[in-house]
Amino acid sequence: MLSIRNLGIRYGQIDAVRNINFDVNDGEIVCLIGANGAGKTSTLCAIMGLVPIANGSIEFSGTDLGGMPTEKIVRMGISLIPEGRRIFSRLSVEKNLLLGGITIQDDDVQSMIGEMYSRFPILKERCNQLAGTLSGGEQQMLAVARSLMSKPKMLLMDEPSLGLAPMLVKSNFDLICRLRDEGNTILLVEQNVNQSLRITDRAYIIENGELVASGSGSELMESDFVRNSYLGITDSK
Amino acid sequence: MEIAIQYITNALSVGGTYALLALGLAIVFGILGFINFAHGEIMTICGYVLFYAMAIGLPFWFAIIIGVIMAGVAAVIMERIAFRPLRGANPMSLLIAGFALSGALQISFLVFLGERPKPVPMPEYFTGAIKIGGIYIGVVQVISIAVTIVAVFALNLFLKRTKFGISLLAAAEDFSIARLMGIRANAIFSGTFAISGLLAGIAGVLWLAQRGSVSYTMGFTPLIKAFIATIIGGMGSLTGAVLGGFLLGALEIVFQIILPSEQLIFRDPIVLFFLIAVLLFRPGGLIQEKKESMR
Ligand SMILES: Nc1ncnc2c1ncn2[C@@H]1O[C@H](COP(=O)(O)OP(=O)(O)OP(=O)(O)O)[C@@H](O)[C@H]1O
Ligand SMILES: [Mg+2]
Repeated sequence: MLSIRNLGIRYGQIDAVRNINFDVNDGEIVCLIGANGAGKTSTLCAIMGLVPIANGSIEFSGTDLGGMPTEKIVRMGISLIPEGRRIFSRLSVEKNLLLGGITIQDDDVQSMIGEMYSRFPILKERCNQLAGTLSGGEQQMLAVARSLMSKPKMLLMDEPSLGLAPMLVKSNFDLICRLRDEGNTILLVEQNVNQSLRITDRAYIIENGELVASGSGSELMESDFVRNSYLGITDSK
Repeated sequence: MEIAIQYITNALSVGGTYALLALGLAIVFGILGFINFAHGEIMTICGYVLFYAMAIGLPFWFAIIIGVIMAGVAAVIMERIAFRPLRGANPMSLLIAGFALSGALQISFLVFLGERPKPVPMPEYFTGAIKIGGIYIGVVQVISIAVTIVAVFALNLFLKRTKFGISLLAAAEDFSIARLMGIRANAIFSGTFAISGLLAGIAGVLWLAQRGSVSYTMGFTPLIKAFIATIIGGMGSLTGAVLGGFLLGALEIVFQIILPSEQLIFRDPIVLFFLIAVLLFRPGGLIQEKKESMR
C-alpha cells in the first residue's frame, strides 16, 4: 500500500533521514522504532507532504506522493495522528471532530461523529467542552477520533503512548490492535519497543536517520541487537 | 451630560474604526503569522472606488457596497501577487514585501490618480445630527458605531458557525495540523485576506465619512493606529484587536478634551506613552494567545 524507496530528508545542512526503504501492506501494523532524533517524525511528515523529500520516492497505492500538497495526500486516504496529539485546544471537542471530517461528504459528517461518540463515549460527554481542557488520555482519544473522521485507508501514528499513564498505554495499544482488526492499515512510530514489537507485524529500526534493522515483531524481540540496545536486556546466551 | 454623551459617541465611533482596521491586521497575523503593512492601502483603494463610483453617478449606498467589495478583491489579489510567492518565508521578508507594496501602491495612486485629495461627499442625511432622548448626536457617529457592532458580530458568527470559519480558527491555532485535516492552504490564504480586506473597506468608508476626502496617503495614519491597537490588544487576538482599537479611540478623545488647545499637538505622544505603560504591565498585550509553530 505504502512503499518508501531511498528516502532522504534534509533540513538545510542537516541530513535527518538517509536512504530509508520500507513497505506497509494492506491490513498490517508496521512499526518504526528509534531513539530521539532518529528521524521518525520527519519520515511521517515527509509522507504527509509537510516536509519536502530530498531523495527517493514515496508511493501510496501506486501513486507517487512526491511534491503533492498535504491536503491532497489527506484526500488520497492517509491520516496522521501527530506527535503530541496537537488537537485544536481552543475549539470544542465536536468542532475538532468536524474538522477531522472536512474531506468527507457533508451528509456523512454527523453519522461519523456519532460513530466516534459510540466508540469513545467520554468524548460525547465532553462534546461542547474546549479540547484543551481534556485530560491527556481524553486528548489522545480525540486525536484518534479526529483522524478516523476522514475514513482513512491508512493511519500514521506518531508516538501515541507518549505521556500516557501506564494503564492508558496498555489501552492505547489495545485500541491500535482493535483498529487493525477492523481492517485499518497502520504505520506506528513508537519508543515503547516492548509493547510495539508484541503487536506489530513488522518493524524497522532507525538510528541517526538510517535503517539498521528490520524484521517481524517476534524476530526482533529475539535479536541480540534489539534486546541489548532497545529492550535493555543483557543476558548471556 | 449632553457633552459627555457626544464625547462618548465620538470615542466609540473613532475607536470602532480603529477596531475594524485592527481586526483586519490581527486576522492575517493570527492565521498567517505576519503583519500586512499594505493594509492601509486597501482602505485607500476603497476610498478611490467610492470616489469614482459616485463620480459616474452611482447612488451612494451602491457605491459603498462596490467600494467594500473591491477592497476585499484588492486584498485577495494583493495576497496572490505579493505574499503567496513568499509563503513559508521568514515573517521579516513578508513584512518587507508589505512595506514595498504599500510604497508602490502609494506612488501609483499619486502618479495615476493625482496628488490632490478627492472629495467624497456624504449625503445630507449622513452629516446631520439626530435627537436621541433629548440629546443631539452626529448621525455619522451613530452609523459608525452600529456598523462596527454589526461587523464584529457578523465576523464572530462566521468564525464560530460556518465550516470555513471554523477552519480559519483551526488554522490560526495550528496551521500545519489544519492542513493535515485536509483544509486547503490556498483557501485559507485567500479567505483570510478577503475578510481582512472587507474589514479594511468598511473601516475606509467610516474613515471617509469623518474626513470627507480620499488622497494617496489616506491609509498611512489609520494603519499605524491599527498596528498600535493590535499590539496593545495582543498580537493575533481578534478580541484583543477590538479592545485595543476602542482603548486607543477612547484615549485619543479623552486627551482631546482635557488638553488645552495649544497643547493638542502632544495628544498622540501622550496616548502612546499611556499605551507603552500598558505594555509594561502586560508585555504580550491585553489578550495573549498561544500559537503552534509551523512545520
Ligand atoms: N524543522 C527542522 N529543522 C531542522 N532540523 C530538524 C527539524 N525537524 C527535525 N530536525 C532534526 O531532524 C532530526 C530528526 O528529527 P525527528 O523529529 O524526525 O526525530 P524523531 O525520531 O521523531 O525524534 P523524537 O523521538 O524525539 O520525536 C533531528 O536531529 C532533529 O533535530
Ligand atoms: Mg518524533
